[in-house]
Amino acid sequence: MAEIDFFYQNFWKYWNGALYLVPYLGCLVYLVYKKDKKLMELFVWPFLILLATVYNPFLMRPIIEKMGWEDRYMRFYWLLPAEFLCAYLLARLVNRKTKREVQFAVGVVVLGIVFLCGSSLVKYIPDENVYKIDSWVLETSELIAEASKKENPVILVDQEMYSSIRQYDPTVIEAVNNTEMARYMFTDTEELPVDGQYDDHSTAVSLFVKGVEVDASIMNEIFAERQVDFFVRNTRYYSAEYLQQLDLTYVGAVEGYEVYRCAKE
Amino acid sequence: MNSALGIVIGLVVLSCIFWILGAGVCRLMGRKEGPGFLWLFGMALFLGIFSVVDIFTEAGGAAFHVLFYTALAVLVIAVALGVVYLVRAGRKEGGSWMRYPARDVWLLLFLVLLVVQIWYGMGNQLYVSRYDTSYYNGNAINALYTDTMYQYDAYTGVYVGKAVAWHDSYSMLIAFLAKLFFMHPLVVVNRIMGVIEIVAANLAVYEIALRLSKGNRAVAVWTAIIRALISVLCWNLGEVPGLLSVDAHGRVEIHAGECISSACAACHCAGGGGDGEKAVLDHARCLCVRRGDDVDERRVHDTDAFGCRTPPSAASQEEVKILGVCGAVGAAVSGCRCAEFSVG
Repeated sequence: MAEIDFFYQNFWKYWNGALYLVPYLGCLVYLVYKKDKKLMELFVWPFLILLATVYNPFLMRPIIEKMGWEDRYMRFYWLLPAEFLCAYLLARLVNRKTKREVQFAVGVVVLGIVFLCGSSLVKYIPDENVYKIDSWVLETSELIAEASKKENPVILVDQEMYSSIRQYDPTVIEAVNNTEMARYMFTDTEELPVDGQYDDHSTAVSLFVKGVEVDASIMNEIFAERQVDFFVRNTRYYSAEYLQQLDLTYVGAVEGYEVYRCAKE
Repeated sequence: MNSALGIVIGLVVLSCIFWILGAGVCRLMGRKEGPGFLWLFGMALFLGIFSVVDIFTEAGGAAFHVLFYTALAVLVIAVALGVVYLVRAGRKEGGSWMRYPARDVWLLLFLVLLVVQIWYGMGNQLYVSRYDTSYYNGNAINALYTDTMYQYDAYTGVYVGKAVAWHDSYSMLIAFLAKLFFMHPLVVVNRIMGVIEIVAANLAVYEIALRLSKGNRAVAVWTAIIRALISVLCWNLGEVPGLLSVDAHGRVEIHAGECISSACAACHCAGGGGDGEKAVLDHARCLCVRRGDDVDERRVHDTDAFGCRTPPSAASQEEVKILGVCGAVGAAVSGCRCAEFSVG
């Protein structure tokens, strides 16, 4: 249900604590005040039209209810050229023809505005290889290639490895499909319906990839049924005792993962 | 070619292609533009040409190598025609058909800005190659490995049969460039396309600000600098994940975003949009229809906020129309999410 609260939350979620809403609205007011026809046509009128249409809860509420896609609604805010308009008008402010000292002071103030209005600094994580993919993905792929006797081994991996490994290695086949992988993607571990494992194998495997220690007999059936060749264990999941109950043989390990062949030796 | 040298070679080759295509068409239209605009316009033309070839090849259910050789042939012909035309024009008029940028502190500052962003983007692994990108990169690597298009599941690699719906051309573009440069698709996506998008986004901002400020280069460069700072300090407003940390979705969106905005500006400035502009947008919209069962995008850090906020703006109607065409073809290639909302 698309209640008013839904629009309110989406609005604040988009700005995410950043204060750029204030300078953006200030820029719009400034353009109206200056009566700059061209800039008003490009920035102010589209904003007003958006305000009356896609940002209008009374108009959009029935539309969203009819169409669904509630999780995409926030993207309408992407239409706001807030970043560019703020940058452009601040740049104009910096470049006003005045004394050098005044220009310098304005520059400092502008930089201050830019820093103070931001929300969170983007993290910097140094890359590890030319592919820009985590090294454990490459190492796992190599481990499987070395241990496999098949050209296209079937593997069962957790969510993190699932989205990475086939971007690098097209030879592997995933035993879990996207629907199963995405089923509990955004569910907290404590809220997982653990009893669902007894309903069907699809649900069981969805729980398993989230780290739930699904009944070992069920998992062994799934390994056999889906002809899984290798199971890649995220070392944060599953106890040693639990792994002993599965029909697995240890192959090797990389940082954060262990590779097992799906057959007892 | 999966090395720094290979990446540089790839970038130089693509930049030459972009520039030749952009310069050729601008000269044909009698427009005198700077090298940055020519590069940007050429990039949009390149993407447009590829997307048109891709759509027809996909519709024919052909193998991937058919797309590769067809697109290669068309691009080689287009570039060859461009070279011949430009050489002839050069003989006739010297270099007077192009606008040369002043070699001053603003050019230097803009180049430094580009270098810093490329350095930052290339060194940062944040958000790269994860769930959202697995659909696009999975389809690209499947195409290369199986010599088919969209017949294998992007996530699992399981055979699903003949594709029945239109797709965005982005995945096939990755596969095309990977085959062309003998590279792994991840190197194409995260390095080649990454750098191209950083440059393209900055050039787009620069060119738009330049036109709005009636040719004031100081304002244009400062706009690009401040926008880059805002991006770093405020990821939710968009650009950073898509630009500086170079996420594949950022790449997808950049064309759609910067360009659809420009296309909207084109219609807007043209006084409500004539038939030509409407056709351009309609075309973009048609090409941007995406599959219903596409990737699930419910990621927390939705990185593709990027493009749509590049502002709809430009100075003259003619310039704006060029940006619009540029935008539409870019949007056509990039396909999907921005298009859903910003055009529709």
